Amino acid sequence: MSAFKSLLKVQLLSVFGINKMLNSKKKNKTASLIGGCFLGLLVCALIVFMGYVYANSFAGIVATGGTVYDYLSTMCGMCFILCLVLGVYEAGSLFYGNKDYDYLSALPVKNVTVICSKILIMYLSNILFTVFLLAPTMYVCFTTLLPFDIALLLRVIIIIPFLAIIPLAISMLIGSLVSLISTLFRRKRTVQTAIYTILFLAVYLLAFVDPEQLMAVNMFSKIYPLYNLSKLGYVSWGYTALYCAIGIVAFVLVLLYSSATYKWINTRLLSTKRVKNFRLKQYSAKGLFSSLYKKEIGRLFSSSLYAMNSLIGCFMAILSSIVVLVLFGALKEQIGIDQVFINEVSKYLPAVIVFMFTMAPPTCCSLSIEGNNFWIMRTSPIPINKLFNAKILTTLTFTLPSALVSSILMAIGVAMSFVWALTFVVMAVSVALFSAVIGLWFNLISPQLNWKKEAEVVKQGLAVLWSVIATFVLSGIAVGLSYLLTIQAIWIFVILTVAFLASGAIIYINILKNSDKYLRKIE
Amino acid sequence: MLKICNFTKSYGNGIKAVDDLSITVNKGEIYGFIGPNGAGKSTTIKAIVGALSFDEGEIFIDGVSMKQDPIGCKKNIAYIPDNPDIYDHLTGIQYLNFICDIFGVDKLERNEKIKEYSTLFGLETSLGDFISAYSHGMKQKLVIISSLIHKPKLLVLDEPFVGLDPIASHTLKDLMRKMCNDGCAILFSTHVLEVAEKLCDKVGIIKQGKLVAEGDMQSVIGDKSLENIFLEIASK
Repeated sequence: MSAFKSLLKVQLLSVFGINKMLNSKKKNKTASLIGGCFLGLLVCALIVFMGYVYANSFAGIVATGGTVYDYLSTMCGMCFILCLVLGVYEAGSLFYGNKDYDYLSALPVKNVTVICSKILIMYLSNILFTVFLLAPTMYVCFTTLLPFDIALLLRVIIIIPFLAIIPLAISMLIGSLVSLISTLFRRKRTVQTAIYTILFLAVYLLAFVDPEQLMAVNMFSKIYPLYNLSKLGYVSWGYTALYCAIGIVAFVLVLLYSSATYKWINTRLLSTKRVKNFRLKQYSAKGLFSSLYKKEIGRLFSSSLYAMNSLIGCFMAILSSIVVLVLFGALKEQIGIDQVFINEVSKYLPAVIVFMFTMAPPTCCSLSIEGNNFWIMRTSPIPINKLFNAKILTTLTFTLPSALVSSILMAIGVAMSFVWALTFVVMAVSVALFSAVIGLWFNLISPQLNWKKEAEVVKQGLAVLWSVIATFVLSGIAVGLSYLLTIQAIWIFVILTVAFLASGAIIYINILKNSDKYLRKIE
Repeated sequence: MLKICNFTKSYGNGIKAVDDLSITVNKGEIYGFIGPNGAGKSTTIKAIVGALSFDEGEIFIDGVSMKQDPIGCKKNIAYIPDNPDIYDHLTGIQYLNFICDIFGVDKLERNEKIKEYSTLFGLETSLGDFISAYSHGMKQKLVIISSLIHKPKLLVLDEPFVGLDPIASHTLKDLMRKMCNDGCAILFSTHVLEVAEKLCDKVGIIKQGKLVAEGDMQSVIGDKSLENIFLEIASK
């Protein structure tokens, strides 16, 4: 037990730079700790608020013919998808091909103990997200749909830990299989990124692209395997116990499999196929900037965790725009869509764009991900602004086309006029430009070069936390503007475009002017 | 080629890692920079190569101030760190081409130099493999090759022989001497005092951030060994 506790402690101390804060010799250490706690609470509060918004909007299921249990199972389905999407590509990189594999393997600790210590953090974050979504759901349920029922509440509370464990088990299994498949290829990490991308697209299309399914009361029944069992679990203690038992059995089986294959898969991952009969050929010279840019692109795709976590917003934006296109296409046939409806819906689309593109863009950990390699940039004759521009351009390579495509599809789906559509597209582009710049700025104010696992900077870094907060705040502002201002949607687009371009320009100029000062902070 | 004038580096808590250090390394000289652990060698080296900022003192590379024109200075420097942390996701040849692009080495010259140095260090058949597959010694060799390709005027090495096999160590020593004969200046830190004694023209011994002995190798060690001098100084 003590080995498990020690390993767990080491893992927990690396989250959000807690250990750095606790052991800081700075005079304002207490203030930093209080500030850190406050930030953490703020993020939690924002997520709970988002949970409430979702819970409220999905309560309409009951009004369209579903039962309260359909509603609860739908919210459980949302938790399931959220935990799965956030965890599926993290699980693989947490257990396989990690920098700490060698020294952990040399310790007198069983594989199952190492795996459990790593999983627990993912499990705790799954439980948090589940609580943040289900607590507001129960509030909405008991205030608007049902009188208070202690038995139902207890069943939901009992289900929560097991609801969180099932996507964890699936993530571990997928992570293990993807890692294993990638060992058959030379470019293992690129293959992992490609497989995760395909999986992600497949799941999303399965869940969201059928308009009939989207409008059905059991919309998540296709994607959430225990949808129907959970419905029964809210009514009967026997089915509640069965739900919990399935969760435990699934997890234990996956844990045993992972422990048994941990060393084998890691050995295969850490082995490399040599190139036979390598011959030097004539290589062409590139300019400094293009060389830096190529390096940044290569680094992004050398890590499935970095690539997926950073580009998930782009995927979600395009896929969401396809959903809007399909859904509104179906709605158009069923109900008449007039200008008032188009205006009302269009007013809230900017919030969707802002949410998708400002959440952890690649730039917000592009500096930290350099890690121990950063000495190469520091000691080479590279003007630091060129390095920053290369990082920004790398982000824009993916966010700009995604912003264009998603905004065009949304505009078509909602049947905006040409002028409205053009303004909306320009607004989306301004959001993409802003997110690239502000991501870099977050990383410059909270750099973290000493890390052992990429998850420490890609998912748990302070810069990423800042970007999450910014996402909620900016989306909230976009929603607030739309709600409060009784003006046409096109003017919302114009206001947001000007705001994002102006603030993006100010931040960019600040970065360029103070690059030396930021660099000194990284020493 | 390298002139350090009154270099002082303090950290936030007021402790001076290096205090009022002045060193000169002329063209054609190999300067051995030695000292106990934590003496300030790496701090000094990082300041020379532009990886660390400093407020007091000045560092000149071929007459150019590191504070005023860091890019100009870095174009003339090659740095080999003690820990060869380089891009695992690149192949050896990709890394070498990347460094050549940064330093603006033209196509013909780079191909020639890559072939020459990779053959010399026995890496020519491994350049197509990912750096993640390299051993520590192979990474060290790759970093050495990347530092030599662009013909630096100042070569700064931090514990360069760690992890190198005897053949590669011998090759590196030969190359260092050859580069000095061609006008390059070399500053390197090492704990292997026998190598420093044989190779270096000048030596500087740093202790607790201060330069406690400096000069031509013969004038510093006299008829004793460098190891004896070092132990005497370290025990004071």
